Amino acid sequence: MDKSKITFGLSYIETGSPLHRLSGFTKLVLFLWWITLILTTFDLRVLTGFFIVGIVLLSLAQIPFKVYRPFVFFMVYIVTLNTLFIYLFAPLQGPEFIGSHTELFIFTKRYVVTLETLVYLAVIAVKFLAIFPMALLFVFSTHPTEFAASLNKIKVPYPIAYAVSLTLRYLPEITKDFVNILHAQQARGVDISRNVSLRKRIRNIASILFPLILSSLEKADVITNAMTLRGFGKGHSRTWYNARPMAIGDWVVLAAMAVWTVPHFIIRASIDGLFWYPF
Amino acid sequence: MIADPIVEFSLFSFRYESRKEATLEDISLTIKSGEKILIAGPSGSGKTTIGNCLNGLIPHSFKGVGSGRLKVAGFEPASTDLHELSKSVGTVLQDTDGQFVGLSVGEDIAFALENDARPRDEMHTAVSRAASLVEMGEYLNRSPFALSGGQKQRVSLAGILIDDVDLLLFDEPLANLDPATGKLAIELIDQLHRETGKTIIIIEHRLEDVLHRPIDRIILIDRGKVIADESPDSMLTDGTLATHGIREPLYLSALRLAGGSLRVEDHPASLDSLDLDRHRDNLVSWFDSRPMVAERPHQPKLLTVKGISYSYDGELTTLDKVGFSIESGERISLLGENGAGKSTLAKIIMGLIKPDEGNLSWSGNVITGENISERSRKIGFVMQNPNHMISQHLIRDEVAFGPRLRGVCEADVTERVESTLRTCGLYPFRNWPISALSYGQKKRVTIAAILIMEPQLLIMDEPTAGQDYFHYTEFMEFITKLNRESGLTILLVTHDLHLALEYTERSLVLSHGYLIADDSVPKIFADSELLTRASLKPTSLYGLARKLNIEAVDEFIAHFISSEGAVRSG
Amino acid sequence: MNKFSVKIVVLTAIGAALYGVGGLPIFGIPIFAETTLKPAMAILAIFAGLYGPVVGFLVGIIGHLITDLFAGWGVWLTWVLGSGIVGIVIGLLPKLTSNRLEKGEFPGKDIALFILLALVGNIGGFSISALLDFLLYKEPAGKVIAQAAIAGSTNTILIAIIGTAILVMIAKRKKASTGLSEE
Repeated sequence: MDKSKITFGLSYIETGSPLHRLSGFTKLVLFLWWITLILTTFDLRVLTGFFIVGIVLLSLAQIPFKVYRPFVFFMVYIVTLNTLFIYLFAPLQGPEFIGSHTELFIFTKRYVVTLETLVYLAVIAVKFLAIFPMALLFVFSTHPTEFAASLNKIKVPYPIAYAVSLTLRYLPEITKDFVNILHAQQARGVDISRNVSLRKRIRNIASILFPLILSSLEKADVITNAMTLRGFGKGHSRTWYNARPMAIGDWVVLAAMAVWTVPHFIIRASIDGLFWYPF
Repeated sequence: MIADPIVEFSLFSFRYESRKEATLEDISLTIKSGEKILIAGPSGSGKTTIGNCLNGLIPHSFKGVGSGRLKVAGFEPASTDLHELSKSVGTVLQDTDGQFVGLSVGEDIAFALENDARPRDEMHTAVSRAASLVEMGEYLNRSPFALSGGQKQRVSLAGILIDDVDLLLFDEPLANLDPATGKLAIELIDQLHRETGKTIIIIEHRLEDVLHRPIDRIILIDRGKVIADESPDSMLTDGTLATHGIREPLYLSALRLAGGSLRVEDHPASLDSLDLDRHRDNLVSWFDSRPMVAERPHQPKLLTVKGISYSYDGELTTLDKVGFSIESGERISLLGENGAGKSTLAKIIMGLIKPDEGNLSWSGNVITGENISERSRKIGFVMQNPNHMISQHLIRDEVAFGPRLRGVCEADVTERVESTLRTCGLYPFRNWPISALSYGQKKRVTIAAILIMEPQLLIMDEPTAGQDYFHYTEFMEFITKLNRESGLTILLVTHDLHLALEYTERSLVLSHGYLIADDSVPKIFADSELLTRASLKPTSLYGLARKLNIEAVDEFIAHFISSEGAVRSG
Repeated sequence: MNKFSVKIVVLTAIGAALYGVGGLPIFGIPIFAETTLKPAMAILAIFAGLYGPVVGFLVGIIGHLITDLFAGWGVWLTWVLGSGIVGIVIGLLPKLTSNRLEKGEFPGKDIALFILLALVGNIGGFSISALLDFLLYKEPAGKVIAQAAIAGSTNTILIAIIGTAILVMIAKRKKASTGLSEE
């Protein structure tokens, strides 16, 4: 990627879809619930179900595909790479977990492909992939400050919730400073590309990070004063301008989550071992 | 009607914990409810400290030792809870980004109410009311990234108006705005003052811009003391301001250059109120006596830019087919409002980003393909904020950084560092840590660190931002000397028209990515239609020339520049 | 909540933004699977070393989440937690050195402690990430251990070089400049 043309692909996009109208609290709970359920199951059927529902929900949010197309390709690439590494490291991990050995074909003595391996690798890959649409959906449909308000609502102390909101607020500015300082130092001959030795590269990075950190600490002083002058932190709680009140849709989604949780764990308990394997 | 005092300092002194000397000494002054006051003074005079005393940051956030008495809106700030004080004193800080903490306009305006834990509905009503006061009612859902500096400042203002404060304190409100936006800010402050009757205190050193709208009194501060406390008309008649590092309005400088002296009855506070009758003949004869100006002989072309286009995202065009050339030894300004494409163009010249189209040539050779490192042997780039460039602890090491990176041997490095530091007047400080220097000195260090690489073209981004008039003049005279003595070509990237007027000969004007003018400075500054198109504010010299019915405005401006330059460099 | 805490909130946010941006792949060098050589690790270490375990933990968590979201390679929660733990462990520095750094002192033994904490934090933090990958995703132990070992060791080296260099400069800056005279 051209370093001068950095764009942020993942941020809130207003489309007015039904998912956008849900309260941030509901979406945060949904996201956490989604992750918890996915992490606790190794059932390919259930995971695939989550993946498909995730894609459907994402499409309901009416975010144009071209916005996140590069991310999808990148994610698929990384997951593929990860899966490949797992196989290279432990080609027989699948059969070991599942407890049977159905050979399909053999590359070398060490690298054997079994049906169990395929199921095992698919489970891991789909686990990662099933979280992805929900993460996208969450980021695209939740206004960052509503996110902070929701964190506060699930009992994260408000200073921490606000720190998250502030991080997002100053991210673009920090990025701009980062790029500007990088440029200023490059113009003086600081090279962090592969043209110089690793040792030099690391030392050169320090000469970019030092001014960046110092000027950021100065910025922090100004922001602290501004927030102090406007009364931040005086009370034990605070309210949020952008918090969205709960509506019927929110209760419907929360109820749906509660309803699915029961069969989810029944299915989980009904299979032998961790992995669902019918063959 | 005799209004009650809202601010009373009596024999008030303050010393910061980390300093040896007092920043404020025996300050006594009174500000009445409903007044509109300008507190002026050079950098380090203590004017910002006065502001911090008013809003309670002193002593609640900045520790130090104080004496004397201070009352603000009936409170003694030292013994009042900061939050309680903030309900009476609202502060708009200089840094528009630092103060805008919310992720949307509405949310930022509501910030104080959120911290008060007010219910949501109440906040929404109050926010739309405060937003409409500053004409931002239609932007409530906008994110700060989609706002200009002026709009962010309006949001900050709404954020303090949402509490019914009695006193509005503006700390250098013009510092981060381009001149046209600054003018609007001053108009808005004035409008608020007239409509709400709140007390207004503006801390600023850009006098002429503040005086665009009337104010009641100017309080001049220097070295921690009150130097003068008078009406603008009386303050402008003597030379007090200039001796304390505050620049007087340009039209008054012209009057003085023409040999006139001012009286209070002339109403010098603004060009509109100024009574020219006594001065007309003087000015006209001064103008008529102007010498013929010889055109600058042409020099070989150093840099030629041809058909440069650039877009950050492939959709919005940041630069569109920009072309010009720079001659060796010229001093040029690149003008345009914030976001016009100035920085992008500078980065393309530096080789930091590659143009989508077009090419650059250096003394006739195409250099579009050269990388940053090759480019930096010819062109030096000095950023606006010196803290973005400084990466070493000691001055000597900072200046030596560039040559060391290029593998120059240590003996040569030492020699070159010493001679560069001598040129920049920094030699006595060579073993100091950079953190011990003032802002202006740091700026000099960054210049030294670039000059040591012996560039032929020096590009400076807003070189005088954050410096008062005294330091500004000192710094720019130094740059001029470099230009005169070593033939260094200078390109200033700025929205400060005074700077361009006095220190450059030719201007390039960018507007929305197009180069809309490339001409001599007086010609450009005489074209008010052009300046307006580029969202730049014509200087008061233009207005003065018009008031005198002088047709050749460009020649009037040119005569002013040459006369003033002669006075300045003694 | 007092003024000190407002500053902590802001420092957390600024630190997280720096760590988040600095962790983007354009500023790093990919080395192994989803592990990159992150010079940003030094930023996390510096904020933790200056401002303690709470700031360290939050900068680690929030910053790492931001990197994951903006880089677009998905959210790797177990590794997010790992960053947080690194922040906590290095955040012990101010307590263990009775805030000497704040006063502008960063002697050799404190530097050694800083590097040791970086090592312990990285081993501890990313071992937990590895353990969770093993438990929650059932990834093979060998693979996750290799990943943790590579991330931990490269991060420690980076922190030891860049983090130390910058903290030394910050310490020098904090030390009041006295006895300066023109020569």
